[in-house]
Amino acid sequence: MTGAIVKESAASPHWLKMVGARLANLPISYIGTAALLVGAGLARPALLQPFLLLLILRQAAPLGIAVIGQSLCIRLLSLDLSFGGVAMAVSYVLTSGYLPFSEPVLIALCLLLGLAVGAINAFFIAHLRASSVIVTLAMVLILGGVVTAFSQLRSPGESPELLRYIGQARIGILPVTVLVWAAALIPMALFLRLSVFGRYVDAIGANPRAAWASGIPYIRAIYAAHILSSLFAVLSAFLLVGFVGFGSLSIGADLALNSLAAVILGGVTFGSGKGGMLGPAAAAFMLMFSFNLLTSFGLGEPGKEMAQGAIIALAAIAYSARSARQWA
Amino acid sequence: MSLLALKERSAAHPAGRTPKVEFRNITKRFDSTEALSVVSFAGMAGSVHAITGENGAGKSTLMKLLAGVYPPDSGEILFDGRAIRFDSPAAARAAGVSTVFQELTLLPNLTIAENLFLGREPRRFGFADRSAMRRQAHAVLQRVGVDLHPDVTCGDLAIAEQHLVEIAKGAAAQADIVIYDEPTAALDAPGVDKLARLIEDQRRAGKLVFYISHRLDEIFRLCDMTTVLKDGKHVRTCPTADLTHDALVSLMVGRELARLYPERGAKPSTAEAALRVTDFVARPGGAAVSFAVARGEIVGLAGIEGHGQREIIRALAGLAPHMAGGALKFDRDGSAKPLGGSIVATARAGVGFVPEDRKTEGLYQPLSIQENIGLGMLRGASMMARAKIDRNRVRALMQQMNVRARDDRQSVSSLSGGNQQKVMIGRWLASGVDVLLIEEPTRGVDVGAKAEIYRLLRAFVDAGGAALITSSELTEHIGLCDRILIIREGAIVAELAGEEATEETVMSYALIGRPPERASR
Repeated sequence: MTGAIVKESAASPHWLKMVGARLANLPISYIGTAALLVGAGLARPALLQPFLLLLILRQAAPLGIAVIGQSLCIRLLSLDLSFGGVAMAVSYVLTSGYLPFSEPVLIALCLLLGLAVGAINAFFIAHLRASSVIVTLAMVLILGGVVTAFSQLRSPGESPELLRYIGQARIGILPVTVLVWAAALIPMALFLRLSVFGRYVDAIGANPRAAWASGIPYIRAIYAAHILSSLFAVLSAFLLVGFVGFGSLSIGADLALNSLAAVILGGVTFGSGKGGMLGPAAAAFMLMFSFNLLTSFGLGEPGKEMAQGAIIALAAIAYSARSARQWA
Repeated sequence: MSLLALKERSAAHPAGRTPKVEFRNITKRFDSTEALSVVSFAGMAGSVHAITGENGAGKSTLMKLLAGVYPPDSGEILFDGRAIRFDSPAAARAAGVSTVFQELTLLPNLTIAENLFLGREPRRFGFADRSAMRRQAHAVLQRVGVDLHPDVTCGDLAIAEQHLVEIAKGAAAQADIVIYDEPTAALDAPGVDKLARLIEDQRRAGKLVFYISHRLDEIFRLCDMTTVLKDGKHVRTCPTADLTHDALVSLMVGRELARLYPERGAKPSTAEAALRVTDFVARPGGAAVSFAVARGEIVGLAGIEGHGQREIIRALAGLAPHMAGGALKFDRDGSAKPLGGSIVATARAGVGFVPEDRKTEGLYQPLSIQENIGLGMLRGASMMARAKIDRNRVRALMQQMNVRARDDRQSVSSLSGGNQQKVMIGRWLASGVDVLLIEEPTRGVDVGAKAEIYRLLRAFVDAGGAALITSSELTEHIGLCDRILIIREGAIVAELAGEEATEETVMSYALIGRPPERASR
């Protein structure tokens, strides 16, 4: 009844136990990133050049931004698998030229689309108590279908100037994308740490029924999380479209699954009301770095996908092993 | 070990029989707290042995050692005189220890039969023999007196039925030692009777039944031996017949319980209403109720369970819709706010709701005491605002409520029931509401914590608050409330002053809607 069982030899000194416990509670992504960097240093030291690391960081930025939204949803015991559909729609609106508007208007339209997708997801999840997995997957299908239908009229083309600039420019040595990531991540992390909303997220994550019964605006919190999540997906798609330079129907297809893996690796535990923003961000970098490492080992696209699947499965196993230990 | 203890021990070994189970100098630590400290006593086959004490006394921990959930740090457990050590609950089960835990362990997606025989299904040709399983399940359910089909999925059962199945599961295990951990917490009166018959059968069959409870009536009714624990230490083991109610209570609390209920406040001279309920219909086709709760008052909604008290208080809180009528909450400046809309609006209006089930609806178990209480301080704040949680205030409240914990960062899940209840009430005290709607203010809480919670509630209304409570314990209504509204079939059939009410009058109104004099047949 009282506390967890500590199974450690009585011989090890107290401070060592403390450090051990601290380490064991760190998100897997910190330890994983460190291990990968050490591993790369031994096997592929070339990957550790600052310029390459910055490039990987730039690659990780779109995922990192999507992860912000995903971790928010997961902390509220929801999920957002609609990132791929949103990215596809954004890429089409921006690049097809089918909508005869100026670039700023198109960008504003995409943000409105994100708002609408998030609100619709939230409506079904919060009001109709539908499963978030099914609702957001259905959203991918619907968005995908609409975009595919339109693309028969006109196929996607070049990215808008502004986004291409953001996707490719640097300030000093820092890629602008990385700055965009930081500009999204840091305020959001601070907001969740300091605001009433952040406390509500923890409460709902720990016990949604109790949160509801004590008058916490549960439904508004779900709306906020899903709308923010879809807006982050739009921002992530902006970076992808700008980065690639042209639109495509397959853009961001792996965003949802990778973001899910990153959130898990980042130490957000489902139903504990706990988890930060930095762990998942580190996990986004860790995933991207591991994909690059695999490429450097000469693994082709199919091999990479298998490895990617294995990493996600491992993340899930590590996660459940850890939560089993915590709740023993 | 004093002489007295030796004498008691020999009383537990009549005629030199070897005890079925003997605990010798058992000590168990969790982190830095000692849950059990050098506990020794014995249980004999063919007896029902109560393990009692306040919440946090170590009752459940001791039984979990016996059930193989975890090993003791020192000391030993003897079975029929031989020391044994279980590595896992499965090992304890194999050795003949069956446990009916307080928490439900049924898998909701399996049928009753599947749950009863989970992990030890009757087999035929290497496959689970479903028809044998169904037959045996039926027999067990009959024995417990539960009229349910073995093929019903457990998730579809009411909570009380699930608890009966849980008990049947314990009985199905054919063990020599059966442990019941607060088995009646979720049972109604007929359920308790069924359990009592089952336990009597088990005693006659020569089993040793350990019965964890702090319900004195049940201990006196069911148990022939009683062991009292306090703060992890063994206080006494003796035949229940040697004890009186008062003696048992003072053994549990370790002091004479000064007064369980606090002094009622002076009658408010000008009855300034904090809550006014008018023609309020809480369930479809139900009766309308009208009443008011003044500042300085605790008002109870009493009655037999299922007569609509729960619906009224929940609809007032805005957790469920109401059919007709309305309710107003008055602020101190006289301005009125409607109630019964949504739970979010209720909290905004300055009304707190404390649910009866603190585990599922009340507390954030993985979060700390500080977070659980602190969330109350955010009541009515904008989601965009900065969260201001005053830790000093939390600590002061913990001290005022006498919450026993290491510090305010300890997770609520590691607290005993009474302390959890205080934290849940503390959240609303910290939130600045002046009306509380409370379901079962002291469910599953020991006597000591009860007295403290009553004191807290009295202090809350003395400071100008108002409280409306429901409770299934009549004595709680009579001891705590200033006024009692008795509900029968959804309607208020009587209003009694707490000072004048007796169990007899309240029961009479609740059962037949009339005072006892006229009811004499």
